[in-house]
Amino acid sequence: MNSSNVSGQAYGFLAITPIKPGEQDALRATIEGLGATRPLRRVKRTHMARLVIVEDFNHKPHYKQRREEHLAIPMLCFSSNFDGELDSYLDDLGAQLAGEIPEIWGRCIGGPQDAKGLKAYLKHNQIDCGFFYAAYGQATVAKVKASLDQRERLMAFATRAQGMEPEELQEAFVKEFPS
Amino acid sequence: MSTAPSAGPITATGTPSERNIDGQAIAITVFSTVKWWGRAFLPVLFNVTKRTPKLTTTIVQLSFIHFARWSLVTKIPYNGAPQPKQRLRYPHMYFESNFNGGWEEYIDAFSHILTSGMAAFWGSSYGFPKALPVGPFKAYIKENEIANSHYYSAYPEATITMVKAALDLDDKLAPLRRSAKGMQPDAFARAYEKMLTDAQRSL
Repeated sequence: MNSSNVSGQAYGFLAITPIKPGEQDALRATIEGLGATRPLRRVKRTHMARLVIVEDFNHKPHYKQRREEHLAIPMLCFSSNFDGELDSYLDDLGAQLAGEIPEIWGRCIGGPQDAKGLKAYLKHNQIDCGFFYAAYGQATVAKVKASLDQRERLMAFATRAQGMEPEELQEAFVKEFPS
Repeated sequence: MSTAPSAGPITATGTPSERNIDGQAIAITVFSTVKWWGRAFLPVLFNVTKRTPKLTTTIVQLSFIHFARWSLVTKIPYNGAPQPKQRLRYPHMYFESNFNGGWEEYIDAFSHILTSGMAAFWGSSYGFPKALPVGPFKAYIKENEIANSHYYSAYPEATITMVKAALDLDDKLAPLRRSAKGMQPDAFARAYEKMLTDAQRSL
C-alpha cells in the first residue's frame, strides 16, 4: 500500500479511465443524473467522492508553455475519500454499484460491465496521491455520523433537562444516552 | 483542462455550479500543467509536507477543508485499443478539495493566508500568477477548474467545524455514558454539569 494515499485511517483514491469514443455524452448524462439517486450512499465507507469528465488539458497563450499538450482521449476521473483499506472498499463499491457499473465504467475503454472486474480495473488506472490531507482522518463515516447525531441529541437534551432533579436527570440521561 | 460549456464550474455570479455542491460540502477540482522541474520538485515537496505536520498547521486552523489532495500525473494508464498510447510531455497536477463555506472565501483564504504554500504547490505550474494579488489567482483557478458531473458527501449537512465539534463532544461524553447508570443521582448531576461546561465549545 502506498502510504501517500493514507491519512489516519482515511484513504484517498483516484482513478483516471479513458472514455470510449462516442460514449462521452451518454456517460455525462448518466453521472449528472446520479444526484437524484445518490448511489454512493450505499457504499457506507465513503466520506466524499466525485466523478469528473476531463476533455483536454488547458492552455492559454499567456501561460508561455513552450508546446501545447492535448489529452489523446477524454477521461473519467473517479475520486473517493473513504475508510480503511483499498481492496475491500473497491469490492464493496462493485457490489453496491452493480447496477450503475455498465452505465459508468462500462462506457470506458477496457471497463467492466458488472461488479466482477471493477476492482482490478480501477486499481490498474489508479493515480497515487502526492499529498493527501484529511482533517479528521482518524474518524470513520459511521463515527462521524453517530457523533453528529449525538451532538444534536445532546443539545436538545440539555435544553429539555433544565430544572430536572438529579434522579430524574439521571434517568432521562441514561435513557437518551445508553452506555 | 477544459470542460463542456454546459458544465462550467463557475457560474456568471461567481458561485460554483450545483454539481460541485452537496449540502454544505463544496468540491473543487483543478488540473494544471507542470514545468519540467516540477517532476522532481513536487514529490520532494509532498514528502516534506507529509513528514512535517507543522507545515499543515494553518490548514488545520482554517478549519474549512474536510479532505484535500495533490497528485502528480506523469503517465496515463493504458487499457488497450482503441485508447491511443500517450506519453505525456509534461507532468500534470491534479488538485481536489472538499470544503465548506463559499468558493470566493475559500480562494481568498488560500491566497492571503497560505500564500507561501500556494507558491510552493503551484509555483511549478504553467500560468500560475502568484497567490497575491488574489484577482489573477482566482482567474487562474477558474481557468483550470473542472466541473464535477457528480459530487457526494456522506454528511452533507455538516460543516467541518460541526464534525470536529461532534467528535470532540463524543470524547467528553463517552466517560459519562459509561458510568452514568452506576452513579448516585447527586454525583451524576455534578458530573453532568461538569461535562456540559467542558463541552461548551463543542455544542
